[in-house]
Amino acid sequence: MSETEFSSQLKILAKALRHKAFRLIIIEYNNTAIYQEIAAFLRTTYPERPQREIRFIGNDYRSIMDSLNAAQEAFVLIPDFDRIFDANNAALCVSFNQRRDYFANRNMVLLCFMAPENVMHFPEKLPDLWSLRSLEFSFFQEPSQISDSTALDLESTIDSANIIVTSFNSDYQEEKERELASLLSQLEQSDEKNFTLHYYLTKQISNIYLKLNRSEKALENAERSLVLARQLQDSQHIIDSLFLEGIIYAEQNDFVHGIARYNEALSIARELAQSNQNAFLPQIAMTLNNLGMLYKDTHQFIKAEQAYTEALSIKQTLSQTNSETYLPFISNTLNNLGNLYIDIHQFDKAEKVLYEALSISRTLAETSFEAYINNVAAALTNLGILFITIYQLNKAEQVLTEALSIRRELAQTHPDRYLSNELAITLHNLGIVYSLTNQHSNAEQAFSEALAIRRELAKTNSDAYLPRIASTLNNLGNVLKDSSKLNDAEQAFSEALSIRRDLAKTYPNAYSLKVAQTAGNFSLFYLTSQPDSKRSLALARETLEASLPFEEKLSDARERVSFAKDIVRNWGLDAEAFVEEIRKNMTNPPTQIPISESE
Amino acid sequence: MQNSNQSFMQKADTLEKIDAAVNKFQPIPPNHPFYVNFENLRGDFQEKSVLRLLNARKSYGKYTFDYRINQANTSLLFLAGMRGSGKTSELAKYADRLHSADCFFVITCNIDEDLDMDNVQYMDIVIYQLEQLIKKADAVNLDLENGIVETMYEWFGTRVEEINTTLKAEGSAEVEFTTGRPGTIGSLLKHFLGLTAKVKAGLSGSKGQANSIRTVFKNNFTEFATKFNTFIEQTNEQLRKQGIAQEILFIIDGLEKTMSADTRRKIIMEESNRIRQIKANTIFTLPIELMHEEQRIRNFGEIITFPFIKIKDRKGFPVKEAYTIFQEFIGKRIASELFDSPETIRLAIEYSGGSPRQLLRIIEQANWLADEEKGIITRKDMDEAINKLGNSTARFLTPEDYAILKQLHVDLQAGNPIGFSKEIQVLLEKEVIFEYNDGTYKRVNPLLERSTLYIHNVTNAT
Repeated sequence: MSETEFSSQLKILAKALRHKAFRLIIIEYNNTAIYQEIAAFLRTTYPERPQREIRFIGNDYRSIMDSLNAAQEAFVLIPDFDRIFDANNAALCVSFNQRRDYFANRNMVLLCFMAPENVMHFPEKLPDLWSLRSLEFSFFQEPSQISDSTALDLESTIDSANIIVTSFNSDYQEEKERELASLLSQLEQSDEKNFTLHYYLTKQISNIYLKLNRSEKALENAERSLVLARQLQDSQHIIDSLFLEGIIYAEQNDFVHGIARYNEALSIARELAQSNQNAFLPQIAMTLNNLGMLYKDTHQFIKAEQAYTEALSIKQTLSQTNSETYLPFISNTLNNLGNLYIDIHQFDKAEKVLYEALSISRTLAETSFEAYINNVAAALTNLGILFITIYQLNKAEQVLTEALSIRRELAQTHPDRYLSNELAITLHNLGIVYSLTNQHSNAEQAFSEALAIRRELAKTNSDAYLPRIASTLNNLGNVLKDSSKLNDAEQAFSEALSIRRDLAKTYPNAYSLKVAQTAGNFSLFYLTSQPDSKRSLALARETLEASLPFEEKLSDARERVSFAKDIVRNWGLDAEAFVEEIRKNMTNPPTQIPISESE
Repeated sequence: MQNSNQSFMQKADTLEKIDAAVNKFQPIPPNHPFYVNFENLRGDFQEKSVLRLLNARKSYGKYTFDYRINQANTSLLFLAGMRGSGKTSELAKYADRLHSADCFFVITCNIDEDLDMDNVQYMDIVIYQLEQLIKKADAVNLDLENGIVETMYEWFGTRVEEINTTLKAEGSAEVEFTTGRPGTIGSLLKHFLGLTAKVKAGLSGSKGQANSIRTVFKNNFTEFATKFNTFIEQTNEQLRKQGIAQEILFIIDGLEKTMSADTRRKIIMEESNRIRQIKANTIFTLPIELMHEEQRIRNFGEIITFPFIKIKDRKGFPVKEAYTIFQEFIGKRIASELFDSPETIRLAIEYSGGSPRQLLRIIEQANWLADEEKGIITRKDMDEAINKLGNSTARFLTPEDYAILKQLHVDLQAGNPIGFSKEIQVLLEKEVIFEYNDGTYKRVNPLLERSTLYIHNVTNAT
């Protein structure tokens, strides 16, 4: 470029800058002398206008923006502007482009100096800024003219943060009570014809009641929200309310209604997904997962497996585009599927999916420790249950010990959140391992601690925790019996049986076999530890009465029957005749829910 | 409402004053002397389409919205258009016209102006919307019942605690949230702003801090959305009670400038579930590259195309009404005596391609080239400006771009429809191709057509 050409270009530049307004001047150059000459020209031509130099190299977004903020209406010369196109400056590039209007409103003049080979990137990488360009200059000198060169290496100073996420839903009782009171007041004071507002408020109220373990009030409000959702004819709201009801019914162990609600939500979501898959697939996956749990609880194992498998498939598809959101859900469903496989004795499958769940949880915990470490504990605990079931007790003890260690630490740091049934579950299962490996003292300690936790929890939510109390008492009874603490054992069995009998009256399908289990243990107690034929045989009878209706379909039931027969034989009676007599007097088996099994 | 730059925009009667008058960075609201109504010249785009999608009505010049019949409806509208088409001015028009007691409480959120952070995500936008809502509610002394304010306060307080637990684990500074009960929405605003300021990472510059805050909300978005929606509904109710408006309308401008194109696509595709959960009437500007995702977007929102003004029809004949309106556009800004002839003005209009911003750029350049002593812009100045702009645009094209343009030239001459492709999309974004009507009609930027590189690589090569 000749001197004349250069001067003429500078004149145009001067004209463009005479009025105080935003200007984006793109300057292609290959010699720092050009830069210095232009800077000097501006100082001479507009001495009253401040001038600033900002370099991208060695500075992060924040410091660059702070410098620009301070620049106001100055001439801002950026000699290494093209560093913004470096691969490790992608975020800087995007944000700079985004701030276009911010720069424009501040009447600053950006003089962007770039190496010739980088100028081409501007329209593509900074399209919004590009659309506000004022002038482009090419002050390019031939290589022989260049006497100086500057290496421009920008290092990124943006470090990736280790994000730790905590649970969003605080368990602080007082705070929840306050929030509840406030929401109830808002509901009262709002326009009753504002169905939308009432819907949101009743849904929140229901959620809080659920967190406060007041499931009846939770249900009442969930039902109200469903009525409102139907009035609004809003399908999404209807699905949400049905789902919420499903959760509440599950909490209450009302499996019939829970399954019905989930199925209704699922049906609506499937229909809507036909025209809008993206919107409703996540909901379908979630509902299937929860439905699977209820099917499993009611021994509908084939349906449970189908539900989990479909949920998993959906979530795996969704995670391909958004793994951050869906990996935790996949881990949860794998855990549930693993537990199902344990129940139906498909142990190889159980081991495979549970290890997969554990692997995912560990990966998640590496990126967000506090958010996902409890998932690791859950996966370990489930593996522990598997290893107990297949009698690999060393492995069981190993994984459960690790799980317990994690849960104890969580309980210490967040007592309100983690001193809970999860810790109790791990203790309970570890207790079983100790019991099976004749570590009676450890077993008693573990069961006792689990029981104490569960009794505490049952004070506010007996529906949810009475079954678990019965379970721990059942096992504790066995341990105490083996330790010859016979009075305590008798008490434990008696209480466990009493709870399970009550539950079986309302939910026979779910709890009859549990009654059989405890009655059988108690019967054995009166055979071997504290001999009493009358009591032992009465309990054996109870075991058979509870098991026989399910004998045909469930292997567990057949085991109980066999166990009870052994006890009867040990008392010197004809076991077959004993059973036959019971069969004759049996009422029809409960038919609330059909039972299916995969075997 | 004018900002300080708009107040300096007065009709130029000397060459020196033209710079201010052709400021292409300032959107022009409807009450500004420079405002020109391009209605009926943007193909199928009509204001009434927007009103219909918002369920608003215009009757005898008055805009109304009936919340009773729209209880279960909230509108989510994406306004898509090329850069420089006048979207922001159009949105400013709606913000002005629809903001009334019988219509909407309009809250304008300029993402590019206010979200001073790298890598803006959708979560940031939602938090920002809430902040703006509270700010504006405070400004009109909206008398939200204490319980409502308290609930929000408590809720955010707990979230801040969650976030602080997160940040402590990282060793970062804590988010501030003072104790005590807020008595008014103003005090909620004060506390709430403390949170969003941290989201903007304005003080500590900590990206980790912003991410922590973001992640806490994101991971439990459903509850956040319920809280947000409840607050919206309660605010709506109070707006009606106080006779301020019928319902809230958010206008969110600048979405297309945030993030990378890939991230924006992810936002619309993956965040669509979150976007759907926010039940507030909202108009977004849509990144133009997402127009081809129209089918998917229509699952949760409506798209309306905001095209350039068509100044030539498909046969190449000038559209008389468009030229007339653009003459008015220039005439309101610059005295006609500053041009040597009406033909000079017409030339600028012709090479604007129907883009108001490009027209202003052409005049701006011509002004810089004009002889100050003559005191007018001549035909020669205009030609030179057009050549210069055309050649500088052409310089940024690659051989691959020219190959596409060659094919486009052939197709246009044969009257073939121009479909979508990634390459066409890139050229649209570079303002090499312009789109009209609903996108079915495309043309090469007329400035480019005049450049020597284009003539050599395309016109003469086909």
